[in-house]
Amino acid sequence: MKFLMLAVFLWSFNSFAKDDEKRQGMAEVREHYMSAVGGNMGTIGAIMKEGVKQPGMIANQAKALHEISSDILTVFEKGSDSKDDDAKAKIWTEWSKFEKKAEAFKKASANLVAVTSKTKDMKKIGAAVGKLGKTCKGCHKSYKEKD
Amino acid sequence: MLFFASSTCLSSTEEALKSIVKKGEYVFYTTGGCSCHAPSSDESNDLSGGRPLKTPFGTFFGTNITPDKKFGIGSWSSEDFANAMSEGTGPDGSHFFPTFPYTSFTKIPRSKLDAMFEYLKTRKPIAKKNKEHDIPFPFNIRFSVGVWKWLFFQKGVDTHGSNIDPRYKRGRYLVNGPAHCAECHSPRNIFGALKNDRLFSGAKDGPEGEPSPSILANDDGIGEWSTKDVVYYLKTGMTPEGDFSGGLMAEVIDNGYQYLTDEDLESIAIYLKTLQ
Repeated sequence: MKFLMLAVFLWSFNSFAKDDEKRQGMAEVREHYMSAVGGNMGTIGAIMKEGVKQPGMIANQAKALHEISSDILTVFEKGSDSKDDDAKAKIWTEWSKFEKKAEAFKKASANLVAVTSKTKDMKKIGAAVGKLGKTCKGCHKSYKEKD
Repeated sequence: MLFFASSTCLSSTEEALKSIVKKGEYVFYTTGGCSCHAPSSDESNDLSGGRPLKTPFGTFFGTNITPDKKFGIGSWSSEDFANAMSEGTGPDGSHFFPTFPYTSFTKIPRSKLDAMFEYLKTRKPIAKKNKEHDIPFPFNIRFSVGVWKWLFFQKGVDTHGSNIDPRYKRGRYLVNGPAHCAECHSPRNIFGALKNDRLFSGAKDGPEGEPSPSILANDDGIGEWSTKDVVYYLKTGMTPEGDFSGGLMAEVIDNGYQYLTDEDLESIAIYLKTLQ
C-alpha cells in the first residue's frame, strides 16, 4: 500500500512538473511573439511620429503583422497561463472576451494592409494605424499586467 | 425691440456657457478623464464610479461624479466642487481620503475648476449608489484624514517662476497639477503620503495594487525617450519599443491625455525630460 501511495505521489508530482514546464515554455514563446509584434508596431510608430514619408515600409510591416496575427490565440492557448509573463490570468477565465479582442487585432491589421495597398496618403494610413493601435491598447488595458 | 434685445442677450449667455463647457471639457481631459470614476476597468467611463482601487491601506471605490442629484454631484454648487478638488473636503465638511488626488488638483486655478464643473454638469446623470470603501481601522476614520492633511497636504496653485520657459512652466503645471502623474508614479511613506525626495521614481504599490514605472529622465525611467516619444506615447499609449500600456495608464490616455493639444503634450515632455 505504501509503495502504491508513493507511486501515485511521484506520478502526480511528475505530471505537475511537466505541466509547469509546458506553461513556462509557452510563456517564453509568447514573450518572443509579443516582442515581434512590438517590433513591427514600433517601426510603424517611429515612421509616424518622425513624420517620415514611407508608406511602402508601413505596408510591409502591416503585412508581417497581419501574417502573424493568425497566431495570437495560439500563443495564449488554454492551459498556458503562467506567472512568468505579463499575461493576466483572466485571459483564460474570460476566453470569449479575449477572443473578440484578438479578432479585432486581426481585422485592424487586415484593414491597415488594405489601406496601404490603396493609398500613400500618410493621413489616411495614420488613421488606420491609430485603429490598429487601439486594438493593442484595448487588449493590454484588460489583460496585461503593468510593467 | 425689448424681445429682440433679451433674445440676443440670452443667445450671448448661451454662447458664453458653451465656451466655458468647452474649456471645462479640456480641463477634464488634462486630469486623464477622471478615469478612477469609471464603473470598472473594462467598461466605458460614464463617471458613475465603482471601480476598486487597491492600496496598502485598503480598497477604495471610485465615486459617482455624474450630475445625478441623489447619488452623484448634481446637487453640488461650484463652491462645493472647488472645495473638493482643491481642499479635499466634501459639501458636509468631511475630509476626502487622499486616494482622490486633491493633493495635485489643488494646483488647478479656480476658474478652470468652475469650467470643469460646468462640463461635468453636461454629462449623463446616472442614479447609482456609491460603494462603501473597504478599509480597516484606523484608516477608515475620516477625522484622521484631517490630521493627515495637516501633516502632508499643501494647498495652493503653482505660481512661482515668472522668468522661466513658458513651455516648461506649462508642463510643470500639467504634470504636478491636473495630470497628477506623481500620485501613481511615486513611492509613498507609511502614512500614504508621497515621498517628496523620490517623486516620479516609480511605485511598487501603484493604483490597483500594481507597480508603476519610474518616469524620471534617467536609465531607470524614460531617459532614452525623446520629446517626440513622450508625445506619441501620451497620444497613443505606444512606447518607443512598440509596446502598449496596460491598466489605468491606458485608461487615462484613452479618456483624457490623447485629447490634449500637441503643444501641451510637448510641454509635459519638456518638463518630464528635466526630472532626474
